[in-house]
Amino acid sequence: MKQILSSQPQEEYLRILGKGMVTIPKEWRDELGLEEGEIVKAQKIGNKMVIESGTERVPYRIFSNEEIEQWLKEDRLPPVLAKKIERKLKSLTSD
Amino acid sequence: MIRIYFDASVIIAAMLSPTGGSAKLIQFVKLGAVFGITSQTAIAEIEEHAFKIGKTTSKIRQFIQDSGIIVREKINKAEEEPYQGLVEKEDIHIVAGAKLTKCDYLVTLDKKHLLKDEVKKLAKPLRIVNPKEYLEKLV
Repeated sequence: MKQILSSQPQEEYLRILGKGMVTIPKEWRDELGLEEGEIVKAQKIGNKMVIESGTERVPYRIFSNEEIEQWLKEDRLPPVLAKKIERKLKSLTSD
Repeated sequence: MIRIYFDASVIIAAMLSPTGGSAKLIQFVKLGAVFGITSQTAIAEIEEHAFKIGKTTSKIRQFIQDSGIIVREKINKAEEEPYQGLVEKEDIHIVAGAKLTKCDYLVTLDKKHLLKDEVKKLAKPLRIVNPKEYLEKLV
C-alpha cells in the first residue's frame, strides 16, 4: 500500500467522454489507492469539481505476514535467558 | 520507575506468543516492575492487523486492558511535526509517542525501520531496543 503522497499540486487535462465519463490518470489512481468499483466523494465548488478518495490514508505502517512471522522469530528467548526471566518474575510475584 | 514505550510489533508478538520476550516484558508491566505505555495510534495500527493476526478488535482491546499498559491519546499532527523528515512518515507516531510520554526505552521488533543505527542516534536519549535486549538488562 502506498502511503507516501506527493503534496505538490498536479495538473492534467482530461477529455470528457460519453455520459460525462473521464479517466483519472493511472498514476493518480495508484498513488491514491483508487480501485475500480470504489466509491469516491465528488464535490462541485463554484466552477471546480473535487474528487476525494473515500478512505483516509493511515498514519502508520501496514505489515505483511512475513514481517509478523519475523517478529515472532526475533522474539524467541534463549533458554538461559528464559530461565532467568522466570526466576525474576517468580521473585516479584512472591514479594 | 523505568518507562517503556511499546510499539505495535511488540504488542502483536505478545498476543501471538506467550513464551516470547514481548509477552514476558508485559508480565513485568503487570507486576509493576516497569511502567508500560503505548498510544491510541499504536492500538489503531494493531487493530488494522486484526484479521491478519487472527484476533478480533474486542480481544485486542481486552489484551491491552489486561496488560496494564497505559494508553496515551492519539498522536496528533502538531505533535508529529518536529519529527517530519527525520524518521519515515509511518514511524513518526512511534518516536513522537515515546518522547511525548517521556519514556526511557522504546521497545520494538521492527528491525527494518526502527532498530537501525540512524534512528537510534536520532531518538537519543530515548533508547530503542528489542524486548530481548531490555530483558537482558532487567534480569
